[in-house]
Order: sequence, then structure tokens, then C-alpha cells
Amino acid sequence: MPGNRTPTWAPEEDAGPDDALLTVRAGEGDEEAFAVLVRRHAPALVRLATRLVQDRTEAEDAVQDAFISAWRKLPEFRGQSSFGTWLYRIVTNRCLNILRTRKPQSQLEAASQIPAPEHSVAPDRITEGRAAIVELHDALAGLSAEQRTCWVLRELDEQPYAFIADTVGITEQAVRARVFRARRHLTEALGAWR
Amino acid sequence: MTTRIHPPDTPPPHDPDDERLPCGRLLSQVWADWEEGTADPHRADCADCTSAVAELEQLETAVRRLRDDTENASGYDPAPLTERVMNVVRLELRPGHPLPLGAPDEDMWLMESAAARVLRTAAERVPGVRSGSCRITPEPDRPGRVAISLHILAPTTAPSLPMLADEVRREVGAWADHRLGLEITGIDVHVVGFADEPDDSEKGIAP
Amino acid sequence: MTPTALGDTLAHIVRAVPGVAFLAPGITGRLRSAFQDPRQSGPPRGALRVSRRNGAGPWEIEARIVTLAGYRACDVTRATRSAILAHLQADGATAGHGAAVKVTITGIV
Repeated sequence: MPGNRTPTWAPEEDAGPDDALLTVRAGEGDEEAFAVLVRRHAPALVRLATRLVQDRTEAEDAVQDAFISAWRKLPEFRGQSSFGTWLYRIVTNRCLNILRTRKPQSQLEAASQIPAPEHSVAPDRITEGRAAIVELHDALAGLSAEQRTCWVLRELDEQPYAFIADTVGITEQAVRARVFRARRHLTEALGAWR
Repeated sequence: MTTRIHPPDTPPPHDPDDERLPCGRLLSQVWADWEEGTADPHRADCADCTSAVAELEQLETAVRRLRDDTENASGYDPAPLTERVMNVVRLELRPGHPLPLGAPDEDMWLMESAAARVLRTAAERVPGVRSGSCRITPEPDRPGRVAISLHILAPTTAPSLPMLADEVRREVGAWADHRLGLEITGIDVHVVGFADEPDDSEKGIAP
Repeated sequence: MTPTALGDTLAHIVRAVPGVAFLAPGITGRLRSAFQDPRQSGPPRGALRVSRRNGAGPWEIEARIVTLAGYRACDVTRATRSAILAHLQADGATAGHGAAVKVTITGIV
């Protein structure tokens, strides 16, 4: 496994056979085995998609479509990668396409979609933290679909560069360049740059 | 395999977004070194590098907050989405071959995927065995009969794989007869690997 | 007797066979469950196909069923087949025309 970070999308431990066996069974038409895989991987994939497209409904649609396309392709799937990695790639690329076709969003709209805080901290820290997130969120709207995708996989999903390169289908050097440009844009937009 | 791929020492093909700091270092390099934790004695003493890193650190603080905000995957209930996916999947089932039951003139059939689920479970009655692929094929020359090919993971504790395969064959043969009523010509058992947990047979998909 | 009426009767008979969990849903049944249209909430019309060549030849019956795991699959198909044949022979409207019956198990639950 390249990289020194543990992928955060690893499925939680639950009862039942491992993914490789379930994937073989599902490929042979066992839809119940497929249902176990869907249940197991849906939470992490929905989180990934939500981070990418920043809209829960669109994210769920993307994940749902990804699973359905996986079911159709399963008979040809020969386990080149794990089921989780395969789905991660399908979902990422679906979201990338959503971002590419999206009309430029006004900053006001983008800011209004930030989820409410779920943890309690001191009120002044909430305000400060909120403000930073809102700013960052607005700044993200200025990234290209490609930059944003690489940046989200690196910074929010904490994936290794080599994994991102594999997932998006570009070289590792190109991923590094996109993440760099995204950071450059974000630091500038946050008013931190000089 | 190396986990850190350093950008080349000479500047990469010119990136218009990159910037050479007054101290001569490229901004991309300074940030990459910071991210990879690469030691650079110059950095500690250089005001330009220090302020470039400070800006990135400030960004990373905001990023951590955003990450924590969107972290909450364990609280997600996958049931509704699973249901929607499975509703579509059930319109596109792949049941496999029809397998003959009884005498040929009785015209009775069992779809392969349904039979395979039962026979995988049968194999997993042998302690520690996990079953994967299970193909059941009608014998072209012997109407009414089928051949079984089953892939299993063996428990690491199995003293003898041939004996284990025999045990699996017995269980699969017994269930093929008692639970299904298939006429079997042969059962090929392929040990394709070892199961991590030797005594996990309870977790198989229930019949 | 129309194929539809005979199909409904045979569907009841098949569902009552020990070991039959339900008739495998036909495409309309599955679409219904996918889109959950509340207007179509009558008894499920499963996959039981009744036809007759030229309207006068032998009855051709095809039943697709899901069986219960506790029953031997082959015994359930045979009982299903017998129940269908017994009805066709006992009923005045269908007796004497001969019948071809095909039973397929699509799932075991």
C-alpha cells in the first residue's frame, strides 16, 4: 500500500464474509451478497461524495448510480482492486463529472449549504471556527473540478498521492500540481497571502 | 515501495501558479517539504520560508475544521440507499443457468444462483471454511445431471488440504441431495487461499 | 375458461403447496415494488404463465416460484407440478386437453 496514511474509507468491522468473497458471490448473481457490500460501503462513499459535491442529495444519487453501475459490471470484475477501491474510483469520477457540468455557483449559495456544527465548543470558538469554514467553503467554489477533486481526496479524505493518482487516472506529479494550485488559491482567497 | 516521491531538485516544468520566494526556494518545494516532513536546515532560519509555511498551516487549521464537520460517516443510516439500489438490482438479476431437477420429462428447474447460495453455505459447515465462487453446470452428455465447481478458503489450521476438500465435498454432496435434489456427477473443490479467521463458519450467509 | 382466470386459480393452488414461499414476482411485480405505487396494492400476480396453442391445444403452464429453505427443492417442484396437473384434470373446463407444466425455482429463502 503506497503512502503512510491509512485510508479512512476502510469499512467498519461488521459481521459477515469479507469483501473479496462477497464480491465473487455477487459477480455470480448473488444479490444478497451485493446488498451486504452496499450496506457496508455506503456510509463512507456518501461521505466522500458529499465532500466532493457538497450536496447530500446529489451525493446520494451519485453513490446510488455508482453501485448500480458496479452491479452491471461485476461479472467482468476480476478483482484487480478491492471492491472498496473500485467503488471509491467510480464515485469519485461520477462526482468529478457532476462538478464539471455544474454551473458556477454563487458564493452565497455555496455558503448556505454548510452543515451546522454538531459538537459543542465555546461560543467564541464556534464563531471563529464557523467563519473560517465559511471562508474556506466559499474559496473552494473558485477551484476547477479537477483541482477540487484532488484537493478533497488529499485534504478531507486524507488519501496518499499515489492512491489519488490511481483513482483519478492521472500521474502522481499531476495530482501534486493540482493540490498545490488548490492550496495556492485557497491561501490567497483566505486572505492569508501577503 | 517508497512512500515519498520527492519533486526533482531542478524546478519542474514551469508552473505559472508557482512562485520563487525571495530566498530562492520555490513555494511548491517549501510546502511539499513541510507536508512530507522533510528536514531543511534553511527553512528554520528563513523568514520567507517560515511565513510561507505559516500561511499553509493557517489553511490546514481551517481544513481540519471542515474535515471534522464532514467526518460523521458512522452515523449514516445506509438502509434507505441500500433499498433503492436493491430495487434496481432486482430488476436486473443474473440467475445463471437453469439446472434440471427430477426426471427430464418432469420439466422442473432450479436457477443456478439460488442453488449456489445453498451449496456455499453447505461448504461452510466445515469449520473454518469460507466459500467463494460456486459454479454449477448441466452436463451436456448426461441429461438431468450437473457438475459443481467450488472455490474455498481453507482454515490455516487444516492439517490436510485433501482431507479438508473431502469433507467439503461430503457436505456439499449431502446438501445437493437432501436440500435441493440435484443429481451430481462430480464436485471439484479448489482451495484458492486461506481464511484469516479459522473458526468463523457461523458468519456465512444463512440459508 | 380464459387463461387469465385459470392463471389466477392456479396461482392460489401453487401458493398453497407446502414449501412454496411465493410466486416469483414477474416484471410488473418487481417494477411495482421498485416504485412502490400504492394504487396497485391488490394480491400479487406472480409469474404464472398460462397459454394454449391456437386456443385449443394442450394447456401450457409455466410457474416460477421461490421456495422455503427447509424444504427439498426437488420435492417442492414436484408437488407444485402435481397440484397443477391435478387441478387441470379435475376441472371440467380443462380436463381432457392434456397439459405441459414447467416449474422453475428462482430463489430459496
